[in-house]
Amino acid sequence: MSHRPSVLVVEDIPTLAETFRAFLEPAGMTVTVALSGGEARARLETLLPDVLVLDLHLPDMTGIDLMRWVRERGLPCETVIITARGSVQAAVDSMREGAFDFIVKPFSADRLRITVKNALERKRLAGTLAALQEVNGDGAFAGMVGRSAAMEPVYRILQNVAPSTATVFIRGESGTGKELCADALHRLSGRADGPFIAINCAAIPRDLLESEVFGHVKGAFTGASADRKGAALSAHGGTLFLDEVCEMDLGLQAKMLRFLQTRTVQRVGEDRARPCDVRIVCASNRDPEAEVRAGRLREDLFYRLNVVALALPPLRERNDDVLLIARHVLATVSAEEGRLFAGFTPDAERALLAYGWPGNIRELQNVIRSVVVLNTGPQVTADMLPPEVLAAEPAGVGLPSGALPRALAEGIRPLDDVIRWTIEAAVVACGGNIPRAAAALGVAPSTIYRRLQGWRDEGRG
Amino acid sequence: MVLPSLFPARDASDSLDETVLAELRTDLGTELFVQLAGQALTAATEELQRLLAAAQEGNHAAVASAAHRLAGVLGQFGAIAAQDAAGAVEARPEDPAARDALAAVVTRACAALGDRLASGANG
Repeated sequence: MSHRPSVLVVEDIPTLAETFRAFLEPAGMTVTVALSGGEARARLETLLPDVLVLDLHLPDMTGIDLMRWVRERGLPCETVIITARGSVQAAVDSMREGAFDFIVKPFSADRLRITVKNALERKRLAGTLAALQEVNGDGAFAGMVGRSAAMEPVYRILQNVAPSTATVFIRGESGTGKELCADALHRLSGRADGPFIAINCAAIPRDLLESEVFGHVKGAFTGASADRKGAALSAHGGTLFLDEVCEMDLGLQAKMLRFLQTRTVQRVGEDRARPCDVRIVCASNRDPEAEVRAGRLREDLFYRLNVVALALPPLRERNDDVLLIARHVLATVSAEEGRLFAGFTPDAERALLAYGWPGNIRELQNVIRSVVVLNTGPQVTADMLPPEVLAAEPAGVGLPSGALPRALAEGIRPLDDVIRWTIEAAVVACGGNIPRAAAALGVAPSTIYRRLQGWRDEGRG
Repeated sequence: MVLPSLFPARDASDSLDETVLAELRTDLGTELFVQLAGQALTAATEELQRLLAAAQEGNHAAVASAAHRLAGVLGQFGAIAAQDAAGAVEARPEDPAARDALAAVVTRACAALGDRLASGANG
């Protein structure tokens, strides 16, 4: 079962509103009725329906007025117009205003259900399209910033897997954005309107983790002063993200396995099992296969969780993504802190590219927040960056020992050979990190890529 | 002004679209169909009275609005001729002939629907 779609029927004739409700509810939709435009606006302050089923002729405003009001607020719902014979031109006009479709009375339950289901499908596709357009625009994909080659397989897997209910195991070093990746999966899935609940298994004391995930009833243990729903039931209809899942103790792993097999939840201190429809996404910065071999992770649970494996690359392998993420974070933090930072100077960008970012995106975020808080802008200069970042600047890059004397000993060489030797030496010195090597050489990474490609094409690579 | 009571049901078989009614009965189930059709009958009768009262006051906007509502409620319950006549009044609310024609056809449709409900909605 997936998220139950919600529909707001705006129809001023109560008999018709109830008829349309009776058409839609058996198709698994949650229907709310508003008998006027004003009532619809009031409902929309607290309710975000997937689809508006809207009569064009309302007592206090036109349906088109209401559509414009919805659009001004940016509410992400599709609109299906209902009209009488003879008012078809108005319905066509409403489609110019952005309505998904219109249907003319009288219509059958099937006609209304099919139209609303098509509107739901368009809404889902529009969400996916928006995420894809983001990646072509500012280099973001469903909230994940970056367009490096290392991220392409990640985006491809996200796109392909999101619509399914398959369990996904995200691996990656600390700070690589595993929760953001899980959130992107949720946003691109058919459960996007359901809840996204994240639990960090490493951050919760082991003896409390079971009740955090599965809930408890009042009096189940000392300190259980009230019923608790738990993360799994809270995520019903949506996605449950279990971060640092390898930190879960073996007893709880057995209960998690039962949950995955039965899709039911038994709260601590309760006999009754409750159905729970969630998509599980989990993550770890450890090697799960090694954890299985060491007996710390149940093999059967691992295979249940690892239906789709997704590996997030560390930031040092994401080349220019460092700058894209840095600019994105700078804009966000600058706005949050009321500062006017507009970007980075070239020397600051070189320093950001040269550094290895062992703490990954989280470390980059912390560095930029610190810079924004401690300085006034309008540009981030290299001297605003912390010493450990600057230490990786060109002067700090060492060449392979003995390489330069050997080259000199060979006498004068063709310039192209010297360039090639210099580039290769820099790449080796930077551990294969092209952006760092480029920063050290004072050229753009694309210059190095172009040279390497040229040598490969010549058969010299 | 023509009042509904002056037009007893005649030729009721032409007043309702049997296909629409049968489909609606299947979609809703007989019990809910009878309940909602009864409400539609009441709503249509009241709306026609409002329309005629508005016409007497010369309030054409209110006439058009009532005609639109009549078209909606009757059309959905299979009174296609009444829906068309209401559409004509909505387009020409100042036209007394259109209003009289609407009153006649609405009355016939309501009578036919009432007969159907009285006979258990099976016919």
